[in-house]
Amino acid sequence: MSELRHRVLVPVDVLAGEGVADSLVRTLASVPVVLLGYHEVPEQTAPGQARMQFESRAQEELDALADAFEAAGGTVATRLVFTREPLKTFERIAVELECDAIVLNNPAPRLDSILMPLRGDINVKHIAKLVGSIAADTEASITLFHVRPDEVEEEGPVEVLTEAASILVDEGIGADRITQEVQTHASPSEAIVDVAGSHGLVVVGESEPSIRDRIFGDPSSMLAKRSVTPVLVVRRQILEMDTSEQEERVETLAETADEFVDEDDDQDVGSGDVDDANTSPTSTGS
Amino acid sequence: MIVGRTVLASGPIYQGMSVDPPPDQSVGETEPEAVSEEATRHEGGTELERSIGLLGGLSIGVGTMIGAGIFVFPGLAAGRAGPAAMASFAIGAVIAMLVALPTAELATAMPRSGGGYYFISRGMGALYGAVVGISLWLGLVFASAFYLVGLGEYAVAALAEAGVPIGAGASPGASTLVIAIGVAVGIGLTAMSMTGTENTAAIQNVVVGILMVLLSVFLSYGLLDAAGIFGTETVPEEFTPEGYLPIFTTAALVFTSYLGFAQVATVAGEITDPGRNLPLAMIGSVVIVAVFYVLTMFVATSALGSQALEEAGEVAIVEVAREFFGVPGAIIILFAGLLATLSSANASILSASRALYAISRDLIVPPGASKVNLRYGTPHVALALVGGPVIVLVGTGQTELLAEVASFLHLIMYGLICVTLVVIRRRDPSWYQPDFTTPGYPLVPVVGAVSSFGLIAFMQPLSRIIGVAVMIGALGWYAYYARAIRLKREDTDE
Repeated sequence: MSELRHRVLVPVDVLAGEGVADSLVRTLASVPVVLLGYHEVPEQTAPGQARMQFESRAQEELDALADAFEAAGGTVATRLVFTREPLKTFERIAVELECDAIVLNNPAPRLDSILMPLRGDINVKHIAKLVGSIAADTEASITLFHVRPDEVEEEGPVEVLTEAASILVDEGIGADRITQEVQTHASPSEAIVDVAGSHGLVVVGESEPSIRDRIFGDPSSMLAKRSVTPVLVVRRQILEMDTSEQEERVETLAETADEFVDEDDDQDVGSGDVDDANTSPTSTGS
Repeated sequence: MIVGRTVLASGPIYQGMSVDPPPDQSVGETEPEAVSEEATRHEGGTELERSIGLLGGLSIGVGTMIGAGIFVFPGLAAGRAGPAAMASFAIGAVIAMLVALPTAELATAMPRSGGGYYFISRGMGALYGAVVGISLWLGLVFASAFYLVGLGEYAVAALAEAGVPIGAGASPGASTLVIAIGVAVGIGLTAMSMTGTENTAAIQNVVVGILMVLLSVFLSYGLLDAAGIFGTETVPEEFTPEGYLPIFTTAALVFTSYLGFAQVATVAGEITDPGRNLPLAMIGSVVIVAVFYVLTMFVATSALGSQALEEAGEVAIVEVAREFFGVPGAIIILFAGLLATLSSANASILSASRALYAISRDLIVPPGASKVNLRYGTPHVALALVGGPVIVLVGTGQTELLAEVASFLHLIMYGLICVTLVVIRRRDPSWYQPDFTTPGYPLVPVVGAVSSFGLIAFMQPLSRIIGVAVMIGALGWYAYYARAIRLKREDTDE
């Protein structure tokens, strides 16, 4: 890695026995990963109550997953959150830890191919660069996929796919690994679900203002629910960056890299009773 | 270049399901390292997400309270105090507000789950904490039983409306059925809380919204009616047919209608932006329900007179609706009453389970009491320790007694919350940084404490005897089990 351009959030429901597929672990080895262990707490239970009981177990699971990422050569920071609303947590952590994309986890059997569905109206530059840096150290093939609405009678290559392909090649992906595929289908999301199953990872851009809104019942979450393939959702903020913003971002990532590694020294989550660390309780019962 | 990763050490927590913590080690939930608007971060880095917003908080407060004041008490209160019962509700509102302000201040300084218990145990020590914590748990048990009996009344009235022959309101057959329905729903709610993952909070918000709309229409019509816009102008009966004393005894009875605001504090650890949302939700919910209660009493006594309300008992408000809108009105209010008492009962059962969690976290009761099962993620032991006694108490069918004991146990806590505010303010520990400051300090907490304790004097002797017995039992438990407990913050004076 010459420069740090991307950071990916991987939420894992640790206590539900959810793991991260080895293939996905290897694929994500080339980008820094925030491994977010979460446990969804029902409203009958105070989050602290669940934490009291499950923290050590959840932490063990999370550490084991982090070990797997490290064993594959990746860089990992971990977070453990007990939450009532996992999506809100994903969103908050993605913003706090400057993550560019978030993986909606699914048990991919093997990750030998990446599906990139692309619409005509999005800026493919950043999404293609991100995929490039993820795929650079792997052998995975990349399928650039575009769905034409039924009524359009068009032939020939689609501009957005050509553009994405050339960015990928610039990122060091061999042209022989890149396939362009165009389908005609009334519902693009249906078409994507149909082909997603034969790929190891689907990368989509976030189109709503937030990951959370986006995930609520629309393409990316539907995709994750209806297929067995993990979905990487690239945050909108990243998709829309211009060049100077991107440079700033690379700097930010480099600056926060230390914190990322040793987050106990930072991550000031607010004022509150930080200066009160010495009053942590020692209620000793008998 | 990023190398390595962060290893987040586990905090001092229980390792297994029922392993007792080593005696010389810190136990229970650690104090958080940092509290932000969106999460609480603990030592070791584990975070607890905050997910209840202002509307959610208001809905908890209003949803817990409104079931009692409008759908159960009007008949009972009018029977005792006549139209002056609206003054009783107003007195309750004033006391609730005097307590809500200090509670809001303490909650913003300590936005942790556990509510009143947490503040009192940190401000006044484990002894007071133990008595309040156990009283709060049982107080909520009494309150839940009270709501379930109310629910049973509504269900039976609904059956009668549907033409099922069950005899008159006070017949033995009907009261047995009330209890049977109350017990059945109590078992159902407890079982659902143990196993269900469905989002009752979202349902609660909708229910509270529907109730607000229905009641606003109902009360607007009633107010216009009382003013003589529709039909003939109602001749007001004597305001205080029973004299002045019943105003206060009725205030003591109906105070159960104001117990909900402190429930907001029991989920303080889950409220987003606690510095803003906690005070707004607590004070706002008291104001909202107080307006509804006083207007309801005014409308009800204007429409039917206290005599007729008293005869209708717990479902008096249905008769008022029948007077205004005929059978459809009665059916809608019956339905609303079922919803309201159900949501109050459910909220109280969950709060009682939280109260148990709060005291077991500090080892005032064995930690097993708040054990969470992995399958459903629910605290089944605590829920059983709430549901069991609730069902037994529903079996008594004593609406007024259940309400008064619930109020008694809460009022003790409320008074002590006010005292705690004064104690903590005088001690002024470094960690005490509330975002909200009680206006009119020290007058508000002092008057709040005096009036909370004072209201107890107007209760029936039996309610006071049971209340005192519960507190003595709690003291006995503390002496037997929890005497050795030291809570850290209580001795961090300077």
